[in-house]
Amino acid sequence: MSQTNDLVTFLRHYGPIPAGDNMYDELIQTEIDRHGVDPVIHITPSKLQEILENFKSPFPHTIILTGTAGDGKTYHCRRIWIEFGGDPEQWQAGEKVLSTTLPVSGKKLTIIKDLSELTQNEKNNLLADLANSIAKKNINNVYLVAANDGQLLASWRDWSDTQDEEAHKIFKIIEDMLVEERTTDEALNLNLYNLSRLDASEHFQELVEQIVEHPQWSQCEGCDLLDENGSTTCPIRINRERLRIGTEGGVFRKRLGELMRLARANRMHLPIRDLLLLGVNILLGDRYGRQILLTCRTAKNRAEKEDYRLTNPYANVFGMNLPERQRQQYQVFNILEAFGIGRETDNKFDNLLIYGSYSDSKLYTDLVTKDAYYGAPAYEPYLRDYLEGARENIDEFMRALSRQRQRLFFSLPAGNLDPWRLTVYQASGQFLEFVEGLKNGGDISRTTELLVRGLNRTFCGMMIDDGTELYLASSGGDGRGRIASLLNYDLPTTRRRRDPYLNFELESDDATPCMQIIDPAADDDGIVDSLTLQLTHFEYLVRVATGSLPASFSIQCNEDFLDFKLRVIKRLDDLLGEETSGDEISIQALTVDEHGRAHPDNVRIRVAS
Amino acid sequence: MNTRLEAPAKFRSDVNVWVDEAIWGHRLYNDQTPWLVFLEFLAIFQSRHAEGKALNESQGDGLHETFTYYIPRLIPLRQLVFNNPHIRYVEDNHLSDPERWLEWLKIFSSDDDFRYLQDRFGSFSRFSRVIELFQITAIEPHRQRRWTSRFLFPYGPNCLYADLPANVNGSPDRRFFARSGELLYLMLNRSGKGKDLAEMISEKLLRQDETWNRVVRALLPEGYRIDSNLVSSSIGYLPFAERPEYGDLAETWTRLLNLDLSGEALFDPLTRLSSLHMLLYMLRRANEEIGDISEPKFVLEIASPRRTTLFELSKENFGANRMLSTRAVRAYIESAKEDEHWYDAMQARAPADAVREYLSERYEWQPDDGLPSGDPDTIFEALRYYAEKRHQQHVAKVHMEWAKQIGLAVSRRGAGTWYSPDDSLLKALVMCVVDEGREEYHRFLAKLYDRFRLVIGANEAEQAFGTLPTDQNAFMQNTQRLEQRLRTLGLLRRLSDDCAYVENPFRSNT
Repeated sequence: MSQTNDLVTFLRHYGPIPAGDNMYDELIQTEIDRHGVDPVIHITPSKLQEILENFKSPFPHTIILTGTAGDGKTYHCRRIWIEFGGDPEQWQAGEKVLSTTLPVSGKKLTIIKDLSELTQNEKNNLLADLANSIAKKNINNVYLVAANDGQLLASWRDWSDTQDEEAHKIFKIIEDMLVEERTTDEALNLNLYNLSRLDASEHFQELVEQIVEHPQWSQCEGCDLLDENGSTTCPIRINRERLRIGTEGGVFRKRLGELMRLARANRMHLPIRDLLLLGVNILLGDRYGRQILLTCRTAKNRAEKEDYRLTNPYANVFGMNLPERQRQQYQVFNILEAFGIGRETDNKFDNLLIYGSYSDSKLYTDLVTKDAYYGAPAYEPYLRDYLEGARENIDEFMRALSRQRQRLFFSLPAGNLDPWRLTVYQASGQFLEFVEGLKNGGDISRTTELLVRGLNRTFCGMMIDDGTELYLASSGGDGRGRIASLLNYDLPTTRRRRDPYLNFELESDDATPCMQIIDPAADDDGIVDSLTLQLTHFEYLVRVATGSLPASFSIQCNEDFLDFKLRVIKRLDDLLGEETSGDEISIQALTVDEHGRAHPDNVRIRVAS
Repeated sequence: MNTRLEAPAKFRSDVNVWVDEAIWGHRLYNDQTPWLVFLEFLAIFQSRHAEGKALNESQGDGLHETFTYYIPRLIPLRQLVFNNPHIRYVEDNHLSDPERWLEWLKIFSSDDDFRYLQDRFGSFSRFSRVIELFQITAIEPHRQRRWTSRFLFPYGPNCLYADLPANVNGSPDRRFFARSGELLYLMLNRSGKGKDLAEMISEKLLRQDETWNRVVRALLPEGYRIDSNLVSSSIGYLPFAERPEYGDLAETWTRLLNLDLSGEALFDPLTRLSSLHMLLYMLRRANEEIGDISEPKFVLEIASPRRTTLFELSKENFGANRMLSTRAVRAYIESAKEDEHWYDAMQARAPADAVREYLSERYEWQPDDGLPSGDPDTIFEALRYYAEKRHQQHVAKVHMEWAKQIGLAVSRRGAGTWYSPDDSLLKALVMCVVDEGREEYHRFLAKLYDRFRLVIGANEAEQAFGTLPTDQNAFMQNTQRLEQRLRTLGLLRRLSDDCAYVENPFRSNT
């Protein structure tokens, strides 16, 4: 007999369904009780431990939590409230401001779970108290405040504009902390946590693990679609298997995690709420009419008709089960869509997908034929129509082909095919390796050389092959000319005596590399200038270094690198500038020979005395 | 508003009618592009700097500055760079270095002896590369101007020289150095910040020791005196001693000169924003003549793939701004009728003669073909027609020409002209407006309106128009498109869904 798994019904509430307000921490509690979900799916609030320790210490700081909607700000506040003996009933009653006394320090803790709920008046009063607390003027009160960063800054700025210089200074420090992603500042009695800066890929793995390994999957036992031996035709169970570790899901989840790390390196943030939504959508996404998410009943339907093309988890990653307008409302789908997976390809992949079945390719058998749900059956009818038939359905074929590319991206085992060729950022694999290398001190020399070559070509506008020395050259005029053949400086790319050199480091977020010009002779850290290499920058340099760059790619990166070059030349001039000698001018003209070698030619011009 | 300063009699008598000049100064001119305004300014500055008076000209109480400045001709240098067509040919067709020099010296006809170049540069190809670099980096190289009106990039003081007619030793015809640079100079002189600016300009923009400035010296003959055979001019006329625009202009210069950037990279933004300030000056002056107390505005449509309602609004706004100067001229002429002299003239025994005399005196009106006859109204109409026609020839074109050249407006066949900023202008604006390294996006938009009257978002539109002129959504999309543009220029960073910062890549926060 057909039956319903409560867990599935419950999980749907986390998905991209229209009445999305049940996604809020306040309301999901009710659903948990209704469906008897146990254990609940949750993430240990990432900063909870730190916050707890802070408030338990004899000298607690005030804490501000910022982040995008859905990052878990309210959740943190509620846990803190309960940890310090607050009454859950009182919390559920929805009061805007709650307070309690801290056991160790005896100070009064005031919790504001959402700054935007306060009226203008309440806000102004609060900000005044808050400012006193963090400026150490009032040591008896500490606060825990949750707010969106934009709102926080706007309210604080408006308030500080009506106050004295001191208040404005505090505001400036907080603004700096937020933008520079600092947690503390020695001038203030404050910890500022931006939950949007946390690593989404780890959270995602944690959430998916809880979903796919939830004990309540056992409720499926006895369902028609599930054999005693564990084999199944239920699309929900199939998708669940794909997300589990130990089967193919290992690759699926690994790639998803990598995409999230890359998005972060491109300064794209995925709120926790979206991660949960994504996980549920992969599992339950359904492309039939307005269904959007599977229920046990519709899953049975799909299985009976073998309509698996509607429940493809790899397409669900990109929200393909949603109408376009609706899809665009979710940050997570926009971010993942930007990787172009499904659209991007190269000859190797398309040869395999289009002609593989005709050439008895083992690879094709392994990668396409063997997937009995989302592989050959969902694809080959269209392929045959395209190659042998009337080609009446080219559009359908293109869509099917695109879904195969998506599937391959998420399922390719390590081997001779590079999955990143299926994305806009083809150098992603290298990027992740590079970050890993910087983190763990691995060998990054090959990538460094490639990046330096890309930089040299960008800085000089010439096809330089050299990747061991950095050439900083000017174009004359305002310095923004495309071809720069006047060499100002050539810098080593490893530390050498006391010369300034180019160095690659990891940013404080541990996810993004940056390049720095370092002056070892300086008294301080010696950083003359630095530029964060987002994924896009990295991709740009690698593509320039290997000689292929689509025009659409280049404006931002080119501008960023050009500005960086102008700044560095100016600063090195200030630092190293030589006294001009009276009777001679010396200019380094840079040319490149046919082997890509750069030749600085020292042009000396005598000046009439 | 304070009263007009007295203009030198010579200027007044040199023109056929004193209207454009009385309203805006002597003078604005459409053939003088923003770059040339800037170069003329630098040349004046350099001359006065040598006298120790740069931007520190004395203004007697209620009197206009009077001084004479001198600009070099630097003819040998300009011949080498802009009138030297055979250099490449000689290099390509002669193999040995001595042959090249010999051949080039033979072909290159000039009064001067250029043999010293061989000694200074050694190889002919090196000499040729240096000349090429000056050519490539010349100002507005795409414009087909006579070689005597082509200009080197202003690497340093040696690169500044006069605009000359084809006869290089003749007196200048003021075609491209038409005195708009003098107006810029006078504005900065009256800003109250002149002295500080002068110091920064000479230290940052006009350094003698700049490499290419020294190379210029090496191109000139031994013993050549830059200060011989100078072109001399007396400074033009700027009607009002004090105006807020002067201070705003100086503020923009100060901000840009303080950036963490070499002088060469500042010329482009300085040029664009100086002209933008001058356009605002023109609009405000025009409004004052018309008696309109509203503030000028530029409604910017950020380029969009589809036609937007802001496009229409911006086009309308552009049309109105462009017409404003003509309306000002009309109002200025009409004001003659509100004067008691008009009344007296009408009461005179021969009103036509009296009116003719009154008008010709009041406006220094002296048409080449003589003053018209007829009844007073005919004479008045003739004057108005005369002044408007003259205005149409040059000054009326300045708004459109400059707006397009500084990247503020675009024209498309079939669509007309409207305000839409290009990337270089956006960058210049960010460099100027974002002063602490970064600025919250909406405050950035507010500052663009405060400083430059640029309307992009709904808040600013509401301020500029009193009420929202079109639906809020159109403005919201406009700001979103600008955000996207700034992001692709590497100038914007979004922190979260409700918080973004514009970043100035050339101002460190320290």
